[in-house]
Amino acid sequence: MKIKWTGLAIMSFYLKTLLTFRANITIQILLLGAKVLFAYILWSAIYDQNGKIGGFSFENMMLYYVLVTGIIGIDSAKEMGYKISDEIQRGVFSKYMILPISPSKYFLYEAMGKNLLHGVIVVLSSILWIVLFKIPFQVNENWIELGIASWFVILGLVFLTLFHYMFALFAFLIQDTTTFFMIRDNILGFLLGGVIPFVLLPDQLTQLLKCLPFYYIAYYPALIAGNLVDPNYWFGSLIMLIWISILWFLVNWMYQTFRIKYEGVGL
Amino acid sequence: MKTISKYSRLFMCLLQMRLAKQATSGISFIGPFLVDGIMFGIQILTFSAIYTNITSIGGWQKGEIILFIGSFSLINALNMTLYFFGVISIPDKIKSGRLNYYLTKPVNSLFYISFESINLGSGLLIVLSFSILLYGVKILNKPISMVQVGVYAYVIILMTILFYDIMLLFRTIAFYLIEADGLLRVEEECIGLCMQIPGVLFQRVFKIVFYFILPYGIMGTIPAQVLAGTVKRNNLILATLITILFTMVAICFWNYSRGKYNSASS
Repeated sequence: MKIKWTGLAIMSFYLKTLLTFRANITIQILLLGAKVLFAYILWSAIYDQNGKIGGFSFENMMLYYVLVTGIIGIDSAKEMGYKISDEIQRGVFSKYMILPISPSKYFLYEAMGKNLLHGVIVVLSSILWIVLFKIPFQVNENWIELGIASWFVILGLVFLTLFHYMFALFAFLIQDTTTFFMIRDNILGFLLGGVIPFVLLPDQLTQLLKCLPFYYIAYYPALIAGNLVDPNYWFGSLIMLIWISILWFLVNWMYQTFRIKYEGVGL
Repeated sequence: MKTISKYSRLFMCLLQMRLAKQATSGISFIGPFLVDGIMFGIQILTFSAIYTNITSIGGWQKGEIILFIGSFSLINALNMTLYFFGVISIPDKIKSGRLNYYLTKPVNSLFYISFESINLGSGLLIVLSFSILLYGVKILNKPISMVQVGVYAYVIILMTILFYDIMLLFRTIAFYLIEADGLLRVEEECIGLCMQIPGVLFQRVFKIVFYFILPYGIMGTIPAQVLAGTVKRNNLILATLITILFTMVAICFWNYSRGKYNSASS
């Protein structure tokens, strides 16, 4: 009971902290719009001479980009990873080590608190951009399938938090992690389906991606929510739960192993 | 002549100092090459996937798109090698007061700041960019004349200067704002947008914005058109005039803003 209240306290603290930075909220809404704008300009030129591409009409494609960009926009773990890495290198990570909660649980709760606010912002700004760009709102009307999509989004956010935390832990060993983070971010943007829908890739590559968790974080939920696929949640859920379990054990092992090298005085 | 000689020697000194420092840095030396190399690789993969389903985008064939990616990559590579790491530090120098150090030197402070952080590791990106361009020329399957190569080199130099001007303009605003991060994120998104979409696809208000106000839209487009043999003389004149205009505005704005600088926490 004590840990649950601690978790809620951590979540609400970071939620309130985010709410004080209203300019950041505005920028987030505008940046989401910029990504949708890019998709609108590119795909309106492509669809000018083509009917359906990969089974997607222009309206499907635009709705896909709004949903995928929105789901990716909910994730706050990327910035959190940079922050953790920076704090390790400056020697101030000690403040997490003395808390009555493990750092991995602490960061999970922190991410959940921030993701909650980001989720609200994303939903509201997605509606705004759908109206502004006049995208037909052909969202799935089946509440059970929308629930399945939300389930995958939640699993995906948990995975991404552990994933970014794992990379941040390398700061115990490496002085300059920025390069690795930027390489990771470039590849991750593609793997999450934010660049192009996987339906345009070769079949073999798509089948391989289905065995990785990235397929189910934003791409698959966006297809379900946009009524573009029949959901098969068993396989996807199993994949996600396996990868989350692997990551959970990995980050805890990494923390226990690497913290021994930590001197708390900065690199 | 004396000034050119002086600044040439300064440039060589800055280059030598930078080489000595970077020789010890390992991954930081080739970091920009890895990061941007992967980014442009993903872009090529993306458009290759799109072109397996269609034949053209806005009248542009696959070869032209690859030339566009290669051209933007080349401009980015020159930017990252020569002045990127110098110019991005300007807001931090203004905020912390370290700009004083540069203003007291008997050389042009803007020149010093811009070229003190030359990154030769990013020069590998230039090699990568030429590979992309050769790939694009091969797919396009059109002969390229020496005149086209000459004009292409001229346009690339112009666009590299233009990129510098816009970067400088965004960062000079830090003289007037306590926090300029939001503005820099807007710049980042505009670059991200224009390096993935040829300027010819922009219509109406977007064309005005990305051709004349934030002319990222012409940076990769016009060089690609030169190599593809589809460039019009008006576009070359436009590129030249816009570069001259932005250079004058950027330098004047910098000189004016420097006069308003009050040292730390301005």
